[in-house]
Amino acid sequence: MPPSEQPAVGARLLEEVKALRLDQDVAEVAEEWVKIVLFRAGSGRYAFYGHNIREILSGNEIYWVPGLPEFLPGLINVRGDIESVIDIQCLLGEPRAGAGEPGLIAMAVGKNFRSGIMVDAVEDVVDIPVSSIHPPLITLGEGVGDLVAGQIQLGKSLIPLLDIEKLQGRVTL
Amino acid sequence: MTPPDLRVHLLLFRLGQARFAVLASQIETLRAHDASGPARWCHALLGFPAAPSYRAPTEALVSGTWIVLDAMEELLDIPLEAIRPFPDLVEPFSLRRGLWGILPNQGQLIFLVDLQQMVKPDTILQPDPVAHSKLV
Repeated sequence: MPPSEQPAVGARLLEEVKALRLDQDVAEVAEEWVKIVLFRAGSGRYAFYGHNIREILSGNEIYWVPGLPEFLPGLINVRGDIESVIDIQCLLGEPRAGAGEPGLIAMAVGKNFRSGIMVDAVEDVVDIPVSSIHPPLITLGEGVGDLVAGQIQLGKSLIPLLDIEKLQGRVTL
Repeated sequence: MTPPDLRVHLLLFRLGQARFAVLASQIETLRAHDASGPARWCHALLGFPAAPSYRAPTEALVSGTWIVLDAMEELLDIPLEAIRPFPDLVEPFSLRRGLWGILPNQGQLIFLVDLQQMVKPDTILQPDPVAHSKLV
């Protein structure tokens, strides 16, 4: 091709840039994302899938019921609906620091499962690519290891992603 | 839908901070607590981890057994539909203690207890049943 008919360098580079962006867009469309809720329980950071958490409650009185195991501290009244409350710290084997600030209750829903879950704080709700969820490490402790669906790479941290159905299996008689 | 005439008559009482109700028809008679008598303490039947302080202990006769209740509050006549079941996670544990329903009342939760069931010899519970078995 005679030099006069060759596209200008700028135009050629522009074509390449567009092609690269197109590839990138295709990659982004193909990547599946999920919403997760990051929370703190005791000294640890954990996460739930966002679709499992219906709402976060604060200031609810927990009604103690005789005969419940330690991981079920009682019941709450949520706008007229009576819901159970799970002490996730107890199930995760997190050491209890003693009576501190009253925490929050995350209302969790799953297949045939509904309960409040006591957490110390909700840190964030974020969208992450599914590819950033890794299989759980076998080095996770027994309490946590029984409840995780995977681990999330967030920055330099690996955060256990808890599985509501595994939690249900653990607390259901 | 519950027929409108299906109502229950409840006797409300307290044990510590918790509020309970029993079907009035289960109580044959009431009397002041006699410390020398053979009555059973309600908190022990319900499996309280420690005895609450009783402000006005009163004995109720249920199926031939005297049970010490505390702080009788009032009689309530309510429609059956006002009573809620315990949540699924809690019900297996609560039924073991004779607790069969919940009455939300003035922002509080009142637990309905079947005292007749509790005083049956084969259902009287030991202080530490299988409550923690799932964690072991």
